[in-house]
Amino acid sequence: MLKLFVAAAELALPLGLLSAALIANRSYAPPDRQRVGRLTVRVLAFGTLAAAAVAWLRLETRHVRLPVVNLWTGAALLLALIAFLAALWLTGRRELVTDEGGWRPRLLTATSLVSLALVGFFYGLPLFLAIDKVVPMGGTLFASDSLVNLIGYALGIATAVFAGTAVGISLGRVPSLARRVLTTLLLGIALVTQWAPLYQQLAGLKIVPRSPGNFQALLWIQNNAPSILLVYAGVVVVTAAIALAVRRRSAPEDASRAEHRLVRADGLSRRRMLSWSTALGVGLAVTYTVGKRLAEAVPELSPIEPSTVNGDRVEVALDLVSDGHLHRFAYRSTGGTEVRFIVIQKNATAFGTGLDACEICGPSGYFERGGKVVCRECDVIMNTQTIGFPGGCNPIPIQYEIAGGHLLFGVAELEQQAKVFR
Amino acid sequence: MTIITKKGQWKAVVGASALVLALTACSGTPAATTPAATGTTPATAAAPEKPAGTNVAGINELPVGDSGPQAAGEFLEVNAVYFQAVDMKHGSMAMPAASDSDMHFEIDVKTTAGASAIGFEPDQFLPYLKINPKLTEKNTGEVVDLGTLMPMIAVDGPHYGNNIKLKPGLYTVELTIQSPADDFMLHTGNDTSAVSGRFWTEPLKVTFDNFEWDGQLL
Repeated sequence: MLKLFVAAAELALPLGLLSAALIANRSYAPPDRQRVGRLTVRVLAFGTLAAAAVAWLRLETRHVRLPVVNLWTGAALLLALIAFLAALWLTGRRELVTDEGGWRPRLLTATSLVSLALVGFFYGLPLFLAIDKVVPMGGTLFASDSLVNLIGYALGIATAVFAGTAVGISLGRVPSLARRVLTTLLLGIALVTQWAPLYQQLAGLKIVPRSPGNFQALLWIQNNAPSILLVYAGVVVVTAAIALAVRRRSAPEDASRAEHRLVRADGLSRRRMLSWSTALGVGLAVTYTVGKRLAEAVPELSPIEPSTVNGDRVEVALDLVSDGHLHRFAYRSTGGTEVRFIVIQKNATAFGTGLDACEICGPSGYFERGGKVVCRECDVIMNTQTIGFPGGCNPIPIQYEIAGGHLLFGVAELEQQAKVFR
Repeated sequence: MTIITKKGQWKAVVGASALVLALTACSGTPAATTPAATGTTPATAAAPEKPAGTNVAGINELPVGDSGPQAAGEFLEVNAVYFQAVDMKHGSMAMPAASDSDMHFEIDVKTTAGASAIGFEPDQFLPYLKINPKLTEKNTGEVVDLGTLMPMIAVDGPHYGNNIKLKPGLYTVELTIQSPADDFMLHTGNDTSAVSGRFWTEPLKVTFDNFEWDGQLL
């Protein structure tokens, strides 16, 4: 659940904030407010639904190649955002809701809506593709694991939507210059983080020359993705803080009581928005740092349990391993190598036994999560009934016998397998 | 009204976006299907290519490193490629899911003319190999051991591979190819069916340098 929550919150936040910034910077005449609003919803819905459709096609068919999709939409979005930023600064200090007319407001709204559709598509696509992680391999949508994952995924998106809504409202309350600067910051991050991958793709197709500098810049962006998300989270708080700082503190002395009440209500609303935005910003920051670390943490191996070497056999007490859980043991080879092996009861009379290592991942070991045996290296969930058989990520099998209340393992076989742990 | 002056103008926006999507949702561009983009280099120009294996079923194989296919010992030519992760079935055993992986990492192995000494025609798959890739990130020196790649088959034929997770970076990929001698017997002696060649005894090493993994969706 936490993994899906973090992943969805990471992927959805740029979508939420960029959409909010674009929506907050449309210009229209007062009578057209509803019409522009409806158009905005349709444009955003079109972009995100198109992303959902392409994601479905990618996951279910062979007809979509993501690098090509990203190349075209990435280039289009880059141009659209540049055009929007140009229109934003050309519009300058003019009111956004105005009867004045002219080409600048038209250009601003048009570039805003085109960018909105492309943002919905470009950032929506990886978000929708991530839904593939909801159902664990071999599971079904209606299993408890999947439902819990789905809840995490939905909560991650919901958090980003709330953050976007908060930024959108606050951007409508800040002065023109602050609105333009914050919008430019948000879109500037998007432009910078898009440019390097786009150039890399073009270089891959030999349309532009390869650039080691661009690749290093791309690596820097990839490696600093959490920091970039923290900047986004900071914008959520800062925008609300500016909106509160610039509020009207009091109505003129000769103002009506209603006007006084309006000023007080506006102040209260902005204060509440700052509280919510701070909670969201801090929550997102915790998600991208502590939450991510917890979600990606690799569990430590459980302690080695007691076993006894008796002649050419290693004995493990049956009572110790007859609970259906994973148990880990070790044998010290003549060369001094610790040969770890695992035991799990499969049914009343059969046990799954193998090295604490597989052919693919080596001696990384296994752990138990939610009653399932999982490879510590690649996070693959084992089918317990197949433990004891060779292949894939399965533990390398070792033979056992049952006698005298013990599981018996051959010392010779463990000696021979010591090479796996060297 | 300043900007939205005509009924249905939103349809124009939708139409424009649909045009973009129509361009994007297609399965490729001419440039994307060039041999250069698919990991085949002049080093293999004389050998038959896999049957459109670089662009089959929406899978666009990308080259690992900038060297292209390389000779490994006297019997083999190997090539390293990567593309979108794909689910795999291995009996009832577990393998890394595509949804949890960054890419499918694949080593294509084919025999050379010299492999006739061990009974193989050229351009055949050699089974029972244990191939261990070790990746070294050139900026940080971090080493990533991909373990042992598994033999598997796709629409473009058999290969060794696995779904992997990998941090973006600039990597040097070193393959260690163990001899199949312990698992794959050779006819020897003076009988007419005997082969004259012998498998290698020391593991073969092949390096693919400058693997730029940018972490983008595949």
